[in-house]
Amino acid sequence: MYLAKPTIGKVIKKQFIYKLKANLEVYATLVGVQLFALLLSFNAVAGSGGGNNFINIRTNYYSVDLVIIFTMFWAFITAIILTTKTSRNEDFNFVTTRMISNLSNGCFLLTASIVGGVTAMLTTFMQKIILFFIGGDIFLLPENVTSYMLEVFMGSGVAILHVLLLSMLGYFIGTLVQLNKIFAVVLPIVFFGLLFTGGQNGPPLVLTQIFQFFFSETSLVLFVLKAILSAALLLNLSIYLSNRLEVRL
Amino acid sequence: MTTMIGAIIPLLLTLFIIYAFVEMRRKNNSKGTFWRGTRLKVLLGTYATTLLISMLFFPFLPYTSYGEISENEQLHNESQRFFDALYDGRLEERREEVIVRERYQFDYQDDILYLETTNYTEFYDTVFVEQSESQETIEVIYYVELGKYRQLINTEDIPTLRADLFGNRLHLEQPDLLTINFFEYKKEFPLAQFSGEDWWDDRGYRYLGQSAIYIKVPEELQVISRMADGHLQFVR
Repeated sequence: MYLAKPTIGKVIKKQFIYKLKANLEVYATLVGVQLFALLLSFNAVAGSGGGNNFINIRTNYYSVDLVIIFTMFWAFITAIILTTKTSRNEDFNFVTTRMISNLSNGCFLLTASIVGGVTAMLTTFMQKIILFFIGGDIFLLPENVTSYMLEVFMGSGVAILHVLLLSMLGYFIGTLVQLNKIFAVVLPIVFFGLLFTGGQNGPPLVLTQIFQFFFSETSLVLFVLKAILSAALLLNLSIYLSNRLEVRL
Repeated sequence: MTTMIGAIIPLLLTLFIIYAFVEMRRKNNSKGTFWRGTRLKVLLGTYATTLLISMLFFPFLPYTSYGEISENEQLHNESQRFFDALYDGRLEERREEVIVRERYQFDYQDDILYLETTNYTEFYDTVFVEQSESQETIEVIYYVELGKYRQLINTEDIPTLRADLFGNRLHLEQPDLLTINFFEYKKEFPLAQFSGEDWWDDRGYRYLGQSAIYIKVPEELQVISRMADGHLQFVR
């Protein structure tokens, strides 16, 4: 007989808040990763030039693509670390089940993806300001500043989904490795194998097809659906697999 | 896009492995990390504030919209229109587009004029010579059309032509080259994915303008080019 019966929602919330506080240092890593990527982003991603008898025009193009890619890697590693034995055992400080533990991890990764995605896109403003003051060149925008800022905010939403996808993939891979350590060897082999099979004369690379499935999708609605469903599928698979992990005594 | 990803994969994988290794070690280290407690909060607060300030400051950054440069223009015909106007003697009517960057006037009595470049250096501009009955002096005009960049460039910054008359020799010195650097925003891939913009897409052709040296001389004066390079054309 219990005086208070905790609901699943309350336990997930409690664990989620605990994980937010306990893993706060992952955001320090995020800052480091993003600043490093931002530094690399000061190399122009493309350039064009033209001239005539009296004028020579040089245009350099800049973006924070690298910051977003690095943030995706950060989320991937963070998710893998969440599945390690040390992190899993921390959950047993609470009354919990595998499913609750996984769902609270999912909430934590969603929060991390939101923070990562938004901050990654916001670095674009920092980059342009630094370029303006250090580079001293004339700044060209395709449209006006309002539409540019609106685009960045919309891009933040998409970046969140990209980061979430990679974090859920990392979580799934981490769970697989915890299930059997052999996956720590098999998965990299499969990855590099897929990277080099197919191609010029054969069928398209499997990784290219997966890449195109998400990154070549031109419909925003379809992309959102694909990303959310894939992330949910990966989390569900992780929950299913983690139920097969050994019981902690 | 695929080429770019392929090029940075080795770098990313190396960083990924280093980062994973460091993180795994850190997690297993019971002493924790340098970034914790107040120090961590200060770091995160500073970073968040910097991003926020950058976002708020950004709209006040002086910029030029690319749209202002390209819209409603028949870009490919601009150059032709410049030379059509020049041959028709209507160049100075195009006051909005064409600038008279320099104008020299020399009194001249001889029957022959030799055109030379200073120190026989290369000369890229085309020299147009108009022989006119009403003309009594030699007039050298340097015309410049700035094309799409006219609102970005201060006229005074355009290097000018130098012309000097020594006896029956007119020395022309090629103006310096004006170099202008722009930096432009390239859509990040989460945005480019839905706008149809590809990685290598350029913003399109931009007309940079034209320049010409126009020399008006009396009708009977014989003009002979001694320029090492450059083109001489007679306009009637």
